[in-house]
Amino acid sequence: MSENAVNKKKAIKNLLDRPENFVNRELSWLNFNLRVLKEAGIKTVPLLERLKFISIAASNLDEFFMVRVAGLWSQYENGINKKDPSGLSVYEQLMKISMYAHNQVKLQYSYFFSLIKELKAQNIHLRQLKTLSENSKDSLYEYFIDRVYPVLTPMAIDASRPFPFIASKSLNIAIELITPDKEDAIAVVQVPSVLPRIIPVDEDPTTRTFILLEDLIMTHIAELFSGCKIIALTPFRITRNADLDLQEEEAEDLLVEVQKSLKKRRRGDTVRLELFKTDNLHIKKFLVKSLELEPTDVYELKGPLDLTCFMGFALNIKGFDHLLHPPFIPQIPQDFINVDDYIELLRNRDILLHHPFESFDTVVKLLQNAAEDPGVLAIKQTLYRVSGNSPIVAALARAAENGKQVTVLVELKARFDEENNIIWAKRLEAAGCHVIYGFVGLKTHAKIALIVRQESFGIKRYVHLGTGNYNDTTAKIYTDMGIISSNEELGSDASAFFNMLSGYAEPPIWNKLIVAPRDLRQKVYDLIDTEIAYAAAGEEAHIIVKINSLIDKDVILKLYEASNAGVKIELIVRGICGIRPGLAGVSENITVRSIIGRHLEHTRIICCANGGNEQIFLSSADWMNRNLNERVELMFPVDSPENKERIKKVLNLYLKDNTKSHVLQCNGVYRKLTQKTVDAQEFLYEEIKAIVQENKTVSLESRMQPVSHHGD
Amino acid sequence: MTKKKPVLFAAIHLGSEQLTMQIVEYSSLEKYKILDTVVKKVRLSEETFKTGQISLNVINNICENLKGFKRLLKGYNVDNYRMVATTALREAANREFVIDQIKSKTDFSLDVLDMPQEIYHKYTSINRTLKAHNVGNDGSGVLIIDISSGGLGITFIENNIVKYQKNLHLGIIRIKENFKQWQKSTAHFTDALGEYISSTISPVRLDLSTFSVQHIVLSGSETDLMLKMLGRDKNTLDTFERIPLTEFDELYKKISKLNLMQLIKVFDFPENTFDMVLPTILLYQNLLKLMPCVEIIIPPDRLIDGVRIRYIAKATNHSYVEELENSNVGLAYSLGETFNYDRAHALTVEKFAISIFQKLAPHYNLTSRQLLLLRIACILHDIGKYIRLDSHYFYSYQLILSLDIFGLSNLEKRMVALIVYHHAKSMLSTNIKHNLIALDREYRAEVAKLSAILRIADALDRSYCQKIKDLKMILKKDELVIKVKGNKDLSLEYWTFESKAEFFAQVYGIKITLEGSN
Repeated sequence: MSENAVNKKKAIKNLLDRPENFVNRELSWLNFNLRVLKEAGIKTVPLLERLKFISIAASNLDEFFMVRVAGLWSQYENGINKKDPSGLSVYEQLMKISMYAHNQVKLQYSYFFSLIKELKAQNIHLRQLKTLSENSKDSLYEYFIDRVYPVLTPMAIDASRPFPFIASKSLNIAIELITPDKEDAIAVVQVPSVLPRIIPVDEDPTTRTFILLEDLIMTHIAELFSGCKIIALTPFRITRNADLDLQEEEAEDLLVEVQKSLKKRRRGDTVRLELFKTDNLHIKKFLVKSLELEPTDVYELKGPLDLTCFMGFALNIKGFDHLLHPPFIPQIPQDFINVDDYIELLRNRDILLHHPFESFDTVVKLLQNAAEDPGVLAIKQTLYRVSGNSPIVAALARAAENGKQVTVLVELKARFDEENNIIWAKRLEAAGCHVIYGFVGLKTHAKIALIVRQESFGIKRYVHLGTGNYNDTTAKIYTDMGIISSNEELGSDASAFFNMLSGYAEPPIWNKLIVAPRDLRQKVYDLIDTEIAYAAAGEEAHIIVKINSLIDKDVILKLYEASNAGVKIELIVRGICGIRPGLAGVSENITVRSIIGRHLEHTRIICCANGGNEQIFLSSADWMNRNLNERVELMFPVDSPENKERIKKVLNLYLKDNTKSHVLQCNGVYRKLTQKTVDAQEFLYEEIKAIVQENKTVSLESRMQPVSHHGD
Repeated sequence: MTKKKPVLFAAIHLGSEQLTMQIVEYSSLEKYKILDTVVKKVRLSEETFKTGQISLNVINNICENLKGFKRLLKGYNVDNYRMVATTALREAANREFVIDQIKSKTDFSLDVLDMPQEIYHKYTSINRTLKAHNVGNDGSGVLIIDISSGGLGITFIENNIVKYQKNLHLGIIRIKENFKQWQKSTAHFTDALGEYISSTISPVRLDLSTFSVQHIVLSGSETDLMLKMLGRDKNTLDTFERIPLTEFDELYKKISKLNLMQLIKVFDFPENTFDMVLPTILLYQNLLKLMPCVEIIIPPDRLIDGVRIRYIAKATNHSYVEELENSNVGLAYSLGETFNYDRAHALTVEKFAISIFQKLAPHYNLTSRQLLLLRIACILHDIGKYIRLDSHYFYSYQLILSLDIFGLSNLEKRMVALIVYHHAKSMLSTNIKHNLIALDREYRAEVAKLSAILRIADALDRSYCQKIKDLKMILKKDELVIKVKGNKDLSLEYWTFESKAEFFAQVYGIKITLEGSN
């Protein structure tokens, strides 16, 4: 490139690299959570589903405070206050987050109260204890004495006693009281997490009535403080920094190190205080002071704290199925119907699976079969998050017990799953699996499984590659795609990938796989550059990307560059998105939409026009700095024309969706589409059901036929 | 046609810079599939070249990796493997201990290849690849320059015959490690290094001057650096690059003005290759000056490919490797020419020796490899006369030891030298001075058997006049009768034969007699 051209390129980059062209990551995330929360306000969504969305948004927000807000605070406290691409310093971000979050919480409670009202109309009553009949009160008192009282531990706080340790996300009651010695004191009682938060009450045979556990405890709080005078009561909840800070470089044994830091986690710094709105300033001031909080960290709520408990409530309440979505049944993919020998099916073709519409059981069964198949010599797999009692872990253990060579990469650093992961990692080791714990400094986020099989004409490898975790529970909720293939080049790459993970080998020259952190970022640039070149040549240039988060600044700049070059860019980004679409001279050719629906959108797809010779990739990686730089991720091409076509159809469907789509405007605000003629998730489910139904009928007919012939 | 079920094999190479394993599934030499190639960096050469030995730390590291390899082998149910090591381990003072530790910690047995074997293993693979790509099949001259970490092999082939072969102790890493840090940082380093390389290889230039070279084949891991500079980054493992000389000339013009920092910047070399860049450029520059050529070829072959080919050829009774080795007998003739040997005599002795050998072979477990050694010994048995007629066997012995004989290991070369030594000097001599046999006892019998044949064959042309044209042999229970036809007087041959017959009888346990026939 000539010097002139380089300078010109630099100048363009400078023009694009301006704060006003970027959206802050945290605010974009809050925006995403707002979209989730707003599902609770959509009247066409079944009532209990809407309650679930409130719970999801609450749980998301908890995690956000524990990880992101805590992270920003710790940066700020360590003297780091640099600006993000959108030009906000760390402190400015924290202040904006607080403002956004306060507003969001307000909306959350207004939805909550209106839902409580609507539930009442459906004869589900959430009431206050004091409004109940004496009968009910009596039986609740009995419950209190029998079950609740024994597990309560009041902790008094005064000058001589330090502020007691309060677990993150636990619900507590602060009590202002006067002791028998006439001294002013504050005490704390934790609302026991071992007891159900929502208690059913036999109030009226025609309705279902519930009260909250803290209501019961507060009503009888005096029982705990005999001789004291209770002045005021307030439920509160704190959120602490949960980010594991591993000293990985020095970590000799990662397993021990993760265990240690888990112990540490319960002692993190407090980043948020939620408390029931009270006129009692004494308690509030006391808590704020004791926990060393800023006023902006305090969330005073007019309703019950911790709405995450309503997820279990919505799922478990009996007799109200009509207030939920009709049950969702993942379908057996058509190719697998009535097929036991998966190997035969996979021998000569790549099979694309689209979860949850197509059942993840297919993948589970593939592994279960492999564990028992005498021809299988080895199974290798990455595990990031698995379900409790995972059938996949069981299959791998079984395979090892059957004498197969089983290698499992367990990512111990999967956030919030560390403890869980250690338990079954040990279990796998006990079964004889070779368990590896990934790289120091890099999380292994790739989803890949390899089955090595001795067949009559030699070794054959079967590979599963996916966009989502090997988790049979979340696979019923998340949309993900996976490919099962016996392609030799892919098999050879898969072997090499595991050799690399095991530390036996340097990364090779890959046939098909694209691996982060080494190559993925560059490949993304290359793909975009190719489109830019086509655009420059006056040919059709078009990129469709479906992804969960897009916040990597350099990738965004590259997309802006492409937009300016005339490449049409359609982004389907569920969550965080740092792009401002449709800005003149920056992103005129970029559109961004987010799909929020019954299923959590999780597929990661890249589709490039490539001058008419369309290229489609699936990937485990989001386009975030951490995924591209600090994780082991995989991107892989989809080769077979029918699979490509199928994915292309899915993408086009998502681009046409006008029911669950939120379109990002250039001002950073998402506008929900309301035409409601295309619902992508719904369509995909119905389509697959229809195909499966048709197949079943056909196969039934074909089974019937010989019988009638016999009859002749 | 029934397909044969493929078999699995692993080749493992403990090189100076990396530990490599290839797991291959094969049903024949042509039909194979590489299932896994595993490459792990090790820091052997640095230690060996600097401290002379390999530290415990590095050994443990290697053992850990080998345990992982073992797991991989189990994952494919691979039982058969061959593991070889090259320069760094070969030159380490503690190599026996290293081999023993590897054996006890990982249960892998390891053979150390000497330099000629190393270069020959690679040649085994390169030769096949060149043929497959139709290079040199038209009879044009091919010069193969193979750079390993510790050595440089130069081989010239014409009409499928190895015409010239020399090995120099001049590998890139050796160059890199030999020059001290302060030397590398001086402004004159490049010039000095260039001169050093040039002077080391200049005798080769003289040797090669009579040949006409069409293609120069470059092999060795540093070719990756060259390809990078040529903008031909490797994106598959088996790229066979054909590069017109002009492209190289362009490159050298371009880089002649750049210093190391600029080179690194322009070509974006990975950091771990920085101190290889200059030696590599200079070495290739000097090597390409050896001979004018039309085209440069960079094949993908690595030592491990040679290990694989040799193993599979043997396991499947494929004649490729054997044929290739036999074709190297041609090189012995070239060497003979160098020392003005009596070609007619040498050919006659070789012919007789082959006849006797073949008669005896089935009964005495003689192998084709031994025949190769015998033939080379026959061809070269008199070259010592070039130095001095008196005690020529001694000078033949010395010369052979100092030559590069392609395809022979150092041990085999020693055996050939001893076979030759004893063609004129009895092995049973009590004279200590002549009792050169410090050779392991297991090889003594082998040398004796082959030497005994050479002595008889030589006796049959004692007059150097090829009076005997043909041999007929009858092998009885306790006697080998050689019947010869000849028009001329064979007295000298008879007398000499008599004097050599006793040793033959002692070695083979049968009498040998010479009968004339008409």
